[in-house]
Formats: sequence, C-alpha cells, structure tokens
Amino acid sequence: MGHIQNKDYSQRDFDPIVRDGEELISTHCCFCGMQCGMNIRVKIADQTVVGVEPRYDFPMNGGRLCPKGVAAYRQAELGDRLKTPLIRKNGKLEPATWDEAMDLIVSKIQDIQGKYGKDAFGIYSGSSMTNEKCYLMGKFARIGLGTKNIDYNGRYCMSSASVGFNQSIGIDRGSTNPWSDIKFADVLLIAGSNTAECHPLSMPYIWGARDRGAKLIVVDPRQTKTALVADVHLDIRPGTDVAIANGLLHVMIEENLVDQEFIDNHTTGYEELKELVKKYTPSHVSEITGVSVDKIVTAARIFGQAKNGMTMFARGVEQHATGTDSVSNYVNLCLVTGKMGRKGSGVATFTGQGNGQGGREHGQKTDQLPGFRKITDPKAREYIAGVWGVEESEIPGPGLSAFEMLQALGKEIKGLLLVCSNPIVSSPTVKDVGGYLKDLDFFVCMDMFLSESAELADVVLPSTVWVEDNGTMTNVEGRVLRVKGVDRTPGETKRDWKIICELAERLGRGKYFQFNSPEDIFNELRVASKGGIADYYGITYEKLEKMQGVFWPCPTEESEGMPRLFEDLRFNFPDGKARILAFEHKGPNEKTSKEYPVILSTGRVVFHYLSGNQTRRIETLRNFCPDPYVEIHPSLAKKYNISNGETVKVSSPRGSIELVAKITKITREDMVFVPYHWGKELAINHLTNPALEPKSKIPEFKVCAVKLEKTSAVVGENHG
Amino acid sequence: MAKVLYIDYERCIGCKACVIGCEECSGHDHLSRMFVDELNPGETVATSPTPCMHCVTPACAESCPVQAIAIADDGTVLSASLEKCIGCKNCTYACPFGIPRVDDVKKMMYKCDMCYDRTSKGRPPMCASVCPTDTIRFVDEEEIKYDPPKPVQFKWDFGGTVIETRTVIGLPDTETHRFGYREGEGVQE
Amino acid sequence: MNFYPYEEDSFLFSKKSARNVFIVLVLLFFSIYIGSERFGYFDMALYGYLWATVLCFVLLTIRITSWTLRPPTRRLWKQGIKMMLSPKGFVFALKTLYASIGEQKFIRNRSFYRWFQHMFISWGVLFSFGITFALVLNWLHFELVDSKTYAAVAFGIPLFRMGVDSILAIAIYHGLNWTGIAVIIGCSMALYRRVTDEKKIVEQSKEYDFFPLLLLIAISITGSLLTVSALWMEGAFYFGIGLAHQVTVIVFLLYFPFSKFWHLPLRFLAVVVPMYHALQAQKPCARCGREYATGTQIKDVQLALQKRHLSVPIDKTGLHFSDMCSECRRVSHRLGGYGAKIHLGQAGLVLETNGKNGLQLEKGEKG
Repeated sequence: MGHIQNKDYSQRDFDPIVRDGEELISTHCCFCGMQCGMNIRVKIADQTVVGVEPRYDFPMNGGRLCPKGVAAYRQAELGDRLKTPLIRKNGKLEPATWDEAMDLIVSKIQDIQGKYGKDAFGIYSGSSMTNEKCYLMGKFARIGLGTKNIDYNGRYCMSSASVGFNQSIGIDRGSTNPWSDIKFADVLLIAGSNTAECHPLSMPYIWGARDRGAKLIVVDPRQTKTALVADVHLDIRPGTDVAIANGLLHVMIEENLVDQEFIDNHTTGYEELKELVKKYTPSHVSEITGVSVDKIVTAARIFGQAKNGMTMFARGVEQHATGTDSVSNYVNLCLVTGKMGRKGSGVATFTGQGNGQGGREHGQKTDQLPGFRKITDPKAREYIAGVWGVEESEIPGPGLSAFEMLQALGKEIKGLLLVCSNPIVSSPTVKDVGGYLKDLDFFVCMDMFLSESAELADVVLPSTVWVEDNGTMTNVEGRVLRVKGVDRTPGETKRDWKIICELAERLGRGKYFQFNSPEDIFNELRVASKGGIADYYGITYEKLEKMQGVFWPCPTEESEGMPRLFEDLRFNFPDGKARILAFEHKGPNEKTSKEYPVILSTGRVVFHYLSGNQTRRIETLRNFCPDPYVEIHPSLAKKYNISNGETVKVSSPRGSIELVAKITKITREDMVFVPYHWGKELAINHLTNPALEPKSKIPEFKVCAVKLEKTSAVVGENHG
Repeated sequence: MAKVLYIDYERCIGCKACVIGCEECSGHDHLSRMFVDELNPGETVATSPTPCMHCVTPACAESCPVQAIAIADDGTVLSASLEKCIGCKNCTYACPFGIPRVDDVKKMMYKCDMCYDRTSKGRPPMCASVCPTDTIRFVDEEEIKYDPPKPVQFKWDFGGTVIETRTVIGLPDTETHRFGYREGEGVQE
Repeated sequence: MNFYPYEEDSFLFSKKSARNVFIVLVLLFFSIYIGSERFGYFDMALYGYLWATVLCFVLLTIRITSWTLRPPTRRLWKQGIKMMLSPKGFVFALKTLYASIGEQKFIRNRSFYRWFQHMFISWGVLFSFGITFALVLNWLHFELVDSKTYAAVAFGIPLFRMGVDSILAIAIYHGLNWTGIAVIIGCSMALYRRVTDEKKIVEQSKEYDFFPLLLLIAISITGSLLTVSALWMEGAFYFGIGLAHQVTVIVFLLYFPFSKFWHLPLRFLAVVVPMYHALQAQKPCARCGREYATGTQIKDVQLALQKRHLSVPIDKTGLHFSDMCSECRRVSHRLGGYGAKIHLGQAGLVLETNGKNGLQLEKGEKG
C-alpha cells in the first residue's frame, strides 16, 4: 500500500525549487473541482504567502495550472481581507470584538428559534470548503441548531448531475473513471462544457486521447475553444440537449451501433427508449436543435463505432428545467453502446466548485446525511444519530432547497447563517434575492472578503483563506485529497470550523462539537460515512499523503479506494442493472416570444471563479477580464444596428442590465452569451429564470428569453 | 542536451496562465515577458502564446546601439543589461517576432530569458511549467527540430534573410483543417 | 560581451581609431602644456597617475570608436546631434540631461533604495574623476600667493583666492575624501543588496558585478587612509598606503573602458533617446493602423538591420516587419502558420505565407 494512484503521464520528474528563506506548502488550488496540486511559497520568517511553485509530481496536473491557479495565492495577502468581526450599527457595518459578535449571534438565534421554532433559522452553505467544514455545517444545522433548513450553493451547480447519475447508475460520483482514463477513449463526447476555459487542466487529457487518434464531439451553442478543435461541433440551440441526445440515440439504434449484449445483461428500460426515440429522426432533431442533419449523423456514427468512449458534461447540460433528463439521456449514450466500466469508457460531469463533489456527500444538502445517506431513510437516521450521540428523533427531516430557502427568507425563515457563498450574485433574479435577504430579522455571514452578500449582513465573521487551513477536498474524479495550509490566522480571523464549534459551545451544544483539528472532524466523518455510498472509512490523512489522494469508496483500512467504478458491470441497484430512461424533449421553461425574441445563456470565463468574490479582487485576473460583456453574432447585431464596443441593454421579463457588446461569430445567431461573475448592476442574474428543475431544484440559468436595445455609441476601443 | 521551448498553438486556450506564471519567476521582478494574442477576434477564439524566439542571430541585439543585449552560453537571448540599456526601443522595432518590451518609466527593456534561474537548475521555465494545455513545452531541441510530431517552424525566410530560432512553433493541422483552424470560421454556416 | 568592432571595411576601425587616438593625445598634451604653465607646475608625485590616465584615455577612445562604428549607434548619434542643433532639441536635451543623469529619475522609478545607492556612487565617482583628472593632468593647481592665501589656477588662469584655513579651502583639499565617503556608502548599499536580495539576475555575473564595487571601495578607503595618516598618524604608513592607492586607481583606470563602468559613456547617448521619441512624427502600424513608433526610428532600425544583413522585408512590398506593431507581427506569423490571409488594413495589402515561414503578397495580386 501507499503507491500513488493513477500515476499518470501528466506527472513530471522535477522537484520544485525552494528559494532561500522560504518553505513550500504542498496543497491544492482553491478554485474548481479539478483540485490541481500546487506548492505555495511561504516566507519562513513571517509566514507571508509570497508565491506559487509548480508541484510537478502531483498526478492530476503535474504542476500545470490555469491563470486562476497561478494567481490564487495572491488573495491571501490582499489588503481588503476581513480582519475583524463586523456588526451593523445604525445601518453601518462597524468593527467589533468576537465576544460582542458571538453574543449577538447566540441571542438572536435563541430569540428567533424561541419565537418561531427551530426551523426558522436556516444555514445557506457552500461547496468550496473542505469536506470537514461541509460535514460540520450539516451536523451543526441538525444538532447544533436543530433546524431542518440547511442547503448549499451546490444546488445551483451539480444537483442535476447528482440526481441524473443516481437515477441512471445508482451512484453519484462526478466521474465513473479516473481522469487518466480519458486518454484511452476512442471518442469523447463533451456536452455543455467549455472545458478549455472552465476546467483547463482537463485539456492535456483530451489532447492525450486525440494524440492517440481519438475523435472529439462537442455539444455547445458556442464555438468555444473546446469546440474549435472538435471533429464535430454540434452547435445546438440552448435547451435542446434531450433532443440532440435522442437524435444521436436514434441514429445509433437505426444503424445498429448499439451493444445489444451489454443492454440485455446490464440494463433495463431499453425497449421504451427505442420506442421513444423512433420519432427523433435526424431531420426532426435538426429542426429542434438547429444542428445540421449531417453533423448529427456523423457524430452518432463516430460515437457508436468507437470501442471505448466517454461522455462528459457540465452545467450547460445541467442548469436547465429538464437538467436531470438531459444528464440521464447523455448517460444513455454510454449505456446503449456498452461504454462503461473500462479504461476509457464511462461518464463524467465536470465539477464546478472546489469541493463540489465532497460538498454534496456529507450532509449539508437538505435531504442528505453524511455518506450520501438519505435523510428520510430510517436506518440512515439511526446510524448517524448513533455516530453523533443523539436520539434519532433529534435529527430533523428534509428542509427547503437552496433557492426555495432564499424565497422563504423573511417568511418561514427569519434568521440565516451564510457560509462560503455569495447568493446575491449567483442566484437567479438577484434583485429579488436582495429583497429576501433584507427581509430577514437577522443575517450573519462568514467570509474572508466583504462579498456583495456580506454587505447586507447584520454580522460578518472574518474567516481564513483556503491556504490558512488544513483538511481534505474531493475532486472531480472522486479522489479525496489533502489540502494543507500555513499555520496563521491574520488579524482577528478564525477558521470556519473553529467558529462553528465555538458557536455550538455558546449554544450549549458544545459536547457534540469537541474538535481540536480538522483531522478530528475527518475521523468522525469517516465513521459517519461508513457503510454509505460515499464511504470514506478507510481513508486517513496519512494514507492521503502517501498515495497523493484516495478514490472513494474506500470502506476498509486495507482498501486503496476505487479509481474506476463498475468494472464488474454491476450498477448500484439491487439487481445490478443500470436504468435506461427515456425522455421526451420539452425544451426550456421560458420560450422566446415576440417581445423577448433572443435566447440568453450565461457561463464562465477562464479568469474568474463563480461569483468572483475572490478572483475579481486579484488584480491580474481582474485586469484580464474587468467587466462582463454580451457576445452577439454579427448578423444578430446587424438587426439591432449594434457595433463592437457599443452599450446594449439586455432585458428579460425579470430585469435588465447594460453591457458592452462583443460582436463575434463564435455564438449562435439566435442567442447572446454573458458571463456571470459580477454583482450588483453588473449581475446577469438579474435576468435569469428562477424556474427550478422539479427533481434537482436547480434553477434554469442557461436559458431565458431576452430582448436587446442599443443604448449608446462606442465606450471603449477594443484593440486586438 | 539542449532544451528549447515548443509552442503548439493549436492547443492554446488563451488563458494567460503563462503570462501570470512568468511573473512568478524569481529573476522577472513581477514583470511578465510572455504574450498571448487573439489571432482572429470576432471570427474565432483562436489564440497563441509567444515567448522569445531566441534567434541564433538576434535582430534585437544587432540593433542595440549600446550592445546591452547579451546571449548566454546556452544560446538564450537575455534581457538588456540594466545599466547599459538606454530605453531607445530599437530592439522592440527590430525584432521580427514582436517580443522585446521597454518600460518607459524605468527605462529598461525586458524579455523572456527562458527563466534562467529555473533552466539553470534543470527545471522547465514557468510558462512551460504552468501551461494547462501543454501548448508550451520544454523539449529536446534536436528532437523537436528534426523529428517533430507535426510540421514546425524554426527557420524563417524573410525575403532571403534566413533567421533560425531556438524556440520552435508547431503548426495547426492545415491539411484537413481537422481542428477548425481555417479562415473565417464561425459557428454557423 | 562583444568587443568586436563593426567590420564594414576591415581597416576602417584601425584607421578611425588611430586618427581618434592621435587627436586625443594631441589635445591631452596641449591641455597639460597649458595647464602646467609650460610644465612649470608639474606635480611629480602624480606622475604614475598621469601615465595611467593617458592610457585610460587612449583605451577609452578606441572603445568609443569601436562602439560608434556600429550602425545603430552611429545612426542614433547622428540623429541626436542633428536634433540638438535645433533650439527645441537643445532645450529638450538639457532637460533630459538633468532628469536622467542629474536626477537619475529612471533609477528612482526602479527602486528608491537603488536610486539612493546609485546617486552616491555615481556622483562620488564623477566628482572624483573631475578632481583627479584636473590635478593629474595639471589642469588645476593651487598657488601660495602669500602665507595665508591660496590662489586656484585653471589652465594658467587664476580663478579665485581663499584663506589657507578657510572652510572653502578645507572643503576643497578634502574633496576626494568627501566623494570617497559617498562612494563607500553607495557601494556598501549595493553590496548589501546583492547579498540579501538573492535574486539571480541572469544578465549579470558575479565577477562582473562584485569586482567593480570592491575596487571602488578599495580606492576610496586607501584614499581616505592617506588623509587619516597625514592628519592623525603623523604620516605613518603614508608611503605604503599611497602606493596601494596608486595601484588601485591605475587598475581602475585601465579597467574602466572594458567593465561595468563602461555604461557611463553609454549614458550620454541615453540623453538623445527621449527627444528621438518625442520630436518626430508617429507612424501607424501597416496592419492595425495604431500609432506605435516614430517613422524616423523605424527607418533607422531598418537601415541598421540592413547593414547587418538582417533585413526582414515582407515580399516586394517595400514594407518590413518593423512596419507593423509588435502585436501585429506576432499575430501575422500565427495567421500565416495556419494558412489564413493577413490583411494589412492600413497598407491595403493582403498577405499569405510564402511557404518558408515568411510572408508574401497574396497570389494573383503580385506587386
């Protein structure tokens, strides 16, 4: 035991350079689910974070980093970090002591819970935190506060993939295969993911496959950098993923490119699918999606004929009112062709948040308990109650999902603890969300910077940045990783888990929160996850270090984890068979109309991370992409007489914003695209549709109907 | 064996990790020497990084009125020496590849030195270390020049003047345009 | 470092050097002749220094000749002189002279610490040069007019008189001590920075960097010790210290034209640069139309490269790569690389790859 799992070609045989007077902390990037390894350079004398040094030996990225990764360390020394607790006095946030802040929080919690019941205080948490913190949030909500209302921002991010995977293959691990498998695929179908910009470190793997001759099919309404180098680019109309997958399935079934033996032995539901996709002929699908018949047929043939292949997707598929259908339908592509459980065959979703995977496994999701257990499952409740040392009845049931919780603020929920999230930038209809937050009786926020959301809080608690804490993260592959930090807490800052433990203590629940280190918490998490789907029991800090990460499930101390799932082709259902589910194309919740004739889609740019609270503060990243813009196709722009650099007002039924036009042929003629990393008047989420996916409760960020109006002439010359 | 930078710009995603990474090199004074340019803005998202090409006979050095630009023993063309450089920008204009820059305020020219502090210790330069897509690689000079995986450029014929560079550029597939590198390529036809 | 002269004509350098050395020697001889009032006031104690100084002047002349023969240098000098002849240019040059040599603003912009250190060293050394050359070459001497009064005489012309014990006199006798102290402070700062700031500046080797600093400190210390010996030690070790001082100074003078100190003459060319950039008309990039340089400089650069057989023309368009801005040059190579056309919007031309990694006019539009 103790070898490095999935030692990969991406690893490089160099040692990092250690400069005089400095030491290296080998940790992982705080941005995105790839969790690239990096070394942080720390000055020994005063423990200041001074730079980054490649970590050539880490198997996932071999020292490579995207711009966010290179610049990540710079947030540690930023001047605008929160250094003391803040309390709102006479409408203004003023510095205060920890005692004042904590006393106020405790009295308010007791007040609100006394008056309106336990569930009136909610927790809105995040997924960029370590597993330890995510686990602690779930536990603190259930038995620290005794509230059922805890949910997290991963609801906006991964929940459709989660539901989709669960309903199709019975397990929700971001990828069934380790990333090193990608290069053994003969075909890669990437849908709704601008991999090049959002998960740049996946590109060497994709090129690795291509260098071996693999074909690349990209499904994306825009000709992103990923689509630019694809063999087939299916440039679909946003919101037509179910249809395009049905079209591909139709062609593969018609041309007998399916793996009948696999279907018969390892799946159920194929006949229904076959029946349903009959009417999804290429020409019909072409009408719905706007993709040429030729491309649909070519893509289906490439995918069907390949021996090994992977289907990979991301938010472009998931953030829809039919997100779970789309996910399952893309999984179907692999199921009907038998591309599962082998090197180079499987399905994956690109995890967006740093700990998007781990964050959804250990109980900060309102319907879940640690280890992916269902909170409604009596056995699961009993087991977790035993681990926590409480009565089963003390654990509340499921509460409201993230966006529903925001909508309930001021109504059912009177007090809110916001941790590691910035919902006033990241939620749909942000203007309304601002209203909800203002309706609260009491709003406390934990953050390292004064985010747009924190600006509205009654109390702001300063937490540490990622490189000042220890813990574990679980990456896109399901690989649990050890993140390490500098031993410092600048100013009055405290680590999030410490704050929560102290809060529990003051609430009289301290005996359940006797943790002195992240490792203490992790050891409890291991036990809590034991026997669950995401079983971490066999993972220890020591093992993580020795093996440079361990893939869950890892149920015993002897186990080395499971990099590739379903090698025995037994899926996680009692009969061991994967479920082939059939879906009709319904299209997006909001259709274009005469008044709102254009589709708006939103997404990321490579320089920023989520709500931009961190990356917008880092000067280099901000300079590379200072403001949002709207991408418009030249022929659409011509209709509105808009030229490059002019200001355009984009409005949906919910709101409007003014943006600088970027005229480009990379986007479809019937849509516009706007990146979402900005807040306040620059937030595109003023416009997005809050319609929720019925099963995953994810809002439909990717499609809404808008209109365009030109408002002014050129504001800034756009050279180059 | 001598190693050189190899740029396979078909893989570039325009993320500028190399540009920021360049600032992290100890001899670089937080001034980036790397370029990433949009090749065909409005048409495609194609981009390309450009480090110094490290010419065998560098036009920058030949055009320098104060002989401030030296070539290291390994062939690396260095930034102008601080005390000699008079900030005249002849190098900026002479370089056929558009590399040297001059800081007008500090009156100093700066350019890629292949991260001399790293390469002298056997590590790849920062840009090649961080490049998330392997667009920039640090590879064996002989191999990449004379046994390349795809068509490469390192001898440039400018109307009879042949300039050989140590940095090697890998060309996108122009036979079949398999990867979308063709003119005026938009998303729809 | 490249000491080789530019060889357009292999005898050009020898001829020019010989001519220039001859002129310098003649001028030196006459200046000494006049300064010493027909060798009347010849300070024999400085005899060794004299020969080293003369040799230093000769070497420096050869080095400068070699340098100014290089096409880009020659071009820039000529442009500079031409511009300085206009009143506007002259004023501009004076201003730059103050900013870049007097105040050394550009170094302050690099770092305050380094500016401080460099001001000490540079002005210390420049004044030392002034005093040393003036005394060694007998351009200046002091005559005792009466028992209490000195007269300062330059090139045989009495300038002013001062009391033997006057503050002015003391300041002047110890001139070299003051400059020496400044140099010691500056060099110590520089040494400290080099030791603590472990940044490896690849452009500078250790020998190249440390030796000059140590040499300057050695000169200054031995020089100051002479005063210490004379004033407080009744002349003990005076001869030994004097010899040491003389040796260090002679080493310095002979080392000067070929070392880090060589940047001193280069700095005078720097005075030309700001007006070279400011006083000429800007030129638009042939591709994007953005103004990026002066037309004069682009022509000068093209000329200099041509003399070095390094012209980088674009086919037979009359344009060179330097007619495009840096960004357009980089982009054009890449576009050509994948077979795209390159539209020179400003010049109204369309280019394509010439198949040999250069560019040519689009076929069918041959010019």
